Amino acid sequence: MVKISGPVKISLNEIRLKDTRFQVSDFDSWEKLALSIRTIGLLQPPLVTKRRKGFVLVSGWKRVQACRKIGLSSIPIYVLDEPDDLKAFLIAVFDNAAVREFRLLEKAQIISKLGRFGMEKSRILKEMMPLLQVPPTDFYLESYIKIAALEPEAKRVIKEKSLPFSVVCMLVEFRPKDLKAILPILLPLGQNKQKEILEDLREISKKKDVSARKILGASEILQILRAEKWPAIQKSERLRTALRKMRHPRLSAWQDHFNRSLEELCWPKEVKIEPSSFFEDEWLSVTFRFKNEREFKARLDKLQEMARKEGLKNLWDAEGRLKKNRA
Amino acid sequence: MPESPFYPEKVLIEAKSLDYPLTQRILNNLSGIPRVVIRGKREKQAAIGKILGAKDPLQEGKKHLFLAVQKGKFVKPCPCTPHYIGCRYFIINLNLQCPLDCAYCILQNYLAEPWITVFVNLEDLWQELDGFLEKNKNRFLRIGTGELGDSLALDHFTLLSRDLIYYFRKRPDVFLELKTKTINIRNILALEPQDNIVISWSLNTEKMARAEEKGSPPVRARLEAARCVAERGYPVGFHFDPLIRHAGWRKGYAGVVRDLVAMVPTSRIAWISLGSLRFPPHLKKTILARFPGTKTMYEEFIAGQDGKLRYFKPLRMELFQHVAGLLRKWGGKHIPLYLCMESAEIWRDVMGWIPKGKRHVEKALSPRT
Repeated sequence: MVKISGPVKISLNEIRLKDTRFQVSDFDSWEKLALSIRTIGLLQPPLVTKRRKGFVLVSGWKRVQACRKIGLSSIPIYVLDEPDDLKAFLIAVFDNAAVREFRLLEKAQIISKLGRFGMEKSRILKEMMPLLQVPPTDFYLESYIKIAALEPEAKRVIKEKSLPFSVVCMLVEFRPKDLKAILPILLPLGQNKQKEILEDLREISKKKDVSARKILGASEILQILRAEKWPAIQKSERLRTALRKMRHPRLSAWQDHFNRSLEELCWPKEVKIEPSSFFEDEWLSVTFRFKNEREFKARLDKLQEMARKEGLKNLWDAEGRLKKNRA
Repeated sequence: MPESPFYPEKVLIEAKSLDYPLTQRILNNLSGIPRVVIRGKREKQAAIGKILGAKDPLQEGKKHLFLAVQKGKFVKPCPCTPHYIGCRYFIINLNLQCPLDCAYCILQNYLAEPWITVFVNLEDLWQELDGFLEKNKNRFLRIGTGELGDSLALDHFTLLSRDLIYYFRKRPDVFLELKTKTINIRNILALEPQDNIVISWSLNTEKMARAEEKGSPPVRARLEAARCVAERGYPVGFHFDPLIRHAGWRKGYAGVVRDLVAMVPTSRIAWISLGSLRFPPHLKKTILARFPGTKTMYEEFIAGQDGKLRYFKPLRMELFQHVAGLLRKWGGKHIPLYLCMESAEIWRDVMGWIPKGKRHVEKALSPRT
């Protein structure tokens, strides 16, 4: 049974706010709460527990911060009589879980702290992860522990931009120095593009055995990053394309060759021409729209004109022409 | 399994399979290994649950041998893949899963149960085969056991190669292929060879065998085994599948082809297949989780017409042209070569002809004798 006494009034200075061992909340703002306390007072006293050097806050971090900000010198508190850190922490977790859902970084913090306080892995998986609405598997457990270990700057961005788990668990695979370089590029993009960039960066880095930072330091990438004329979103898009080319050099070369060949042919814009998916088949498809007989004939004339051009066969000869260029 | 053959850590026996002679044979050959009789679905689920609870359920599953009764069909057409050219191969599902642990193996995500299963109701197999062969008596057939497991990896305690060879000896018009990466050939060598019994090996570069085919013998050892089997009088087959692009692949595959033609008389080669690395997209996650050190996943893959990831076409072409070219150059034009799950264009550019379909490939592989 949990033993709690109080409420008793103590000086705010008696609470050791630097000791965050039981903190689970990752609150953004306290202003509204401060206004509420100023107007109607502190209705629910925070919970603390006594340790060797003084009182340690178990739950009520936001309330205590708000009280400090509005200049209160003392506040009422409940005192938890629990010398075991894990048990005290569980009280903090359950106290919060009863009234709200945890955010990603909070879940990471809780899972990581449970391990640090000595809870067995099997118990975390079986009892705690379902409570946190996290699938109880090794993968999620390990991913959340890695997320908890991220640098504060990375955590700030994750929180500010509400990055989803699928993106964050890709971020944790990068070294802190690499992350610093990656984060500003990701932010202007949507989730799918963020994932695409991270995946490409990770795979290029693994394949070439170089850090992501080094990849981003390549001259063609730096040129994009340093260009002042483009807004952030455009830079990120250009970078995405550049990374795609690095990750799929041969496919990109074929695509470039195809587009170049069309330019050389002066291919008519009103007739759409497309290769098969990833050039897997040799066929090309041509589609066009027309409103009347005159337009129809005009498109056919254009196509016949194309058919007479010597360069038409280049559309099927990406490999040969690329080889020639390389030579 | 270079020198030490595989033994399971535990044998699980489906109660229904207890009375089959193959069960008794396997248990006799695995004396001293703990065994548990599984009675009913609940016990089976509990045993599966225990394996699935391990950190690496696949690795854990490979320690368990499950003896069971095949309730479905043993013989099936090779599933091949849509939109690419197949070869009308048939498979006998006698065992599922494999003690070897190849990083690229599709079985990692393919089978419902985590352990290595051997089906023990051989009488049902012979009966089904009788019917199947009767139905297909006027055509050239190739049939093998190496699709959902290695044909010989368990053979030192199942002795299934012996049963199969005895059966197919009486069917000289049908080709039985026993496909393996192991050198577990003692039972094969002890039997009289016959021209319709083909023992075949999957080959790769030594570098890939070391890095990606955990538990498999070195490629040279496989070729040495093939040499012994060919000298004994069996036809042999080889599968360069999956061909994998990696640093030094040209030199690596050239080395294997050179060793192959030097060690095995090419006149004894029944067929050689070439296939490039391909896998369903969801397998990539499993591969990277189980083999984080692999670099094979970072090449240029595209989604093929069948939805599987495969190398971008010119990259596949380079692999095929290199290996097929060397096989032709050093091994001669007479070795039957075929491509596994490839497009007509690749056939044309690598082999110089386009099969009109599966039948055409099958015909091209019919015995030179």
